Amino acid sequence: MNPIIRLRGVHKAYGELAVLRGIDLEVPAGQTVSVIGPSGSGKSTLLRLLMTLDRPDQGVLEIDGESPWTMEKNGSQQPADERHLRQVRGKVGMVFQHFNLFPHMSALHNVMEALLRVLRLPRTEAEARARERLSAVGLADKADAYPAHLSGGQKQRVAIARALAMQPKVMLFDEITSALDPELVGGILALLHEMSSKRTMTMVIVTHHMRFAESCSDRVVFFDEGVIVEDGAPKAIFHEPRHERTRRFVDAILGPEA
Amino acid sequence: MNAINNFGPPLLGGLAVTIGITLAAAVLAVVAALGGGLARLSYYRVVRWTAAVYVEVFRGTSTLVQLFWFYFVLPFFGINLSALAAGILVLGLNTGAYGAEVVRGAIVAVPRGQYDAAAALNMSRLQTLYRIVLPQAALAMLPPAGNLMIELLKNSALVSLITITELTFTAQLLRSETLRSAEIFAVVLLFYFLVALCITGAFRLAEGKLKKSAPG
Repeated sequence: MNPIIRLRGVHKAYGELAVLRGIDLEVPAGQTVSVIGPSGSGKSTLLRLLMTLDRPDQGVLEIDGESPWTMEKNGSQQPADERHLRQVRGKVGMVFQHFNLFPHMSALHNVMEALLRVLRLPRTEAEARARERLSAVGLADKADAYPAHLSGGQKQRVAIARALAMQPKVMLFDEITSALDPELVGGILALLHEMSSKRTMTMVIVTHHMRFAESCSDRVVFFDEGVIVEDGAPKAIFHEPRHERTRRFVDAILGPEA
Repeated sequence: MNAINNFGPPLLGGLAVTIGITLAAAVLAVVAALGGGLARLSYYRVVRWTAAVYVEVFRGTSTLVQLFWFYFVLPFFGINLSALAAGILVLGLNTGAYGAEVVRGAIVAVPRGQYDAAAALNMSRLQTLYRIVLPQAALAMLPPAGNLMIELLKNSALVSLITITELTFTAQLLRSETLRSAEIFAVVLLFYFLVALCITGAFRLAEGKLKKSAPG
């Protein structure tokens, strides 16, 4: 089976700063992958490329067998038009560290907006699906609340409901608990765990929660300085890392005895 | 009170013209400001530059001289505008040039994350602009836009110099007949002030409405 995510020799720099320096990664459909590594190692950039918010400087990036940035036309590869880009982009969804809810819309309308305008669902159907997703994240009673009146944890739940409602094949989670108060983290992680255990979506999770990464992912990828240092089963990464850098990172976070 | 009784009624016609010109120019200004502000953020350099030239030319030259150009000079190029058309055009484009900067500033102030979220939901660029960016930018635009509208009202007195009998011009006529400068201009000031007050109130109202629909 073809991988749903395929990266070959991907490089990305912002100005002078080389953030990704040759990434090879293949993720089969349905897998949950946690991406760990020190800050500034390029984890978030990887997700931005997968979400097609930024484009690679070099290398191959394919979602479900298609490159978002190039398309075949008259037998050769041409730069993609917006239509092709959106056709590929529609297979991916993302939840952000800072939620990025639309402040001028209620929770319900945050979820409904793209259902109405992108998927072009009829209004009743869009509302039904949005309400269903909101109750799935425990926010049925907050449908009419505006983001300003929600707690961080509630905002992130709305953001998750909003992304899930689009039913993407691939979901990306970019440090989605980092901006939350500690007591709210557990609930969000439990929600993630529930999603990944269904195995219906491919999930790529950038996280600092090692225990979570260990317990709920099929695979852990360790990033450092713009390259993938180690890639394997959670047990292997956390308990028998092959690389010194992985060991030091894991030890620093979990403590040597973990 | 006596001044208002004596000179209020004969000035009312002029006041109506002033309000009419201001409203017409305001509509043009809003269109020009939105167009100019968005054009300054365009992907295409030609569009950005054209908008920049428009903004800088209208901001950087005297409004009065612009009026003279549109009314007295353009006929030499075969373009004949009525005094009213020239007045509305210049006032509208002038205010629009300042407004374009307001629009641009407000749009730039919408956080990057909003564009990311819209893109992650696969919204088109146009949908992102109309549904996500402009509604948020609108709130930031209103207070400076209110200021500009009051400026526009006051600048409208300039069109008296291209023969339009608006409030100020009517006052001049009345003064040359009666020589009662103090009373006449007291009434004129009061009229301008009252209209400005209405503009302020309208913008406050709009701001309150927008805030209510988007708290925080």
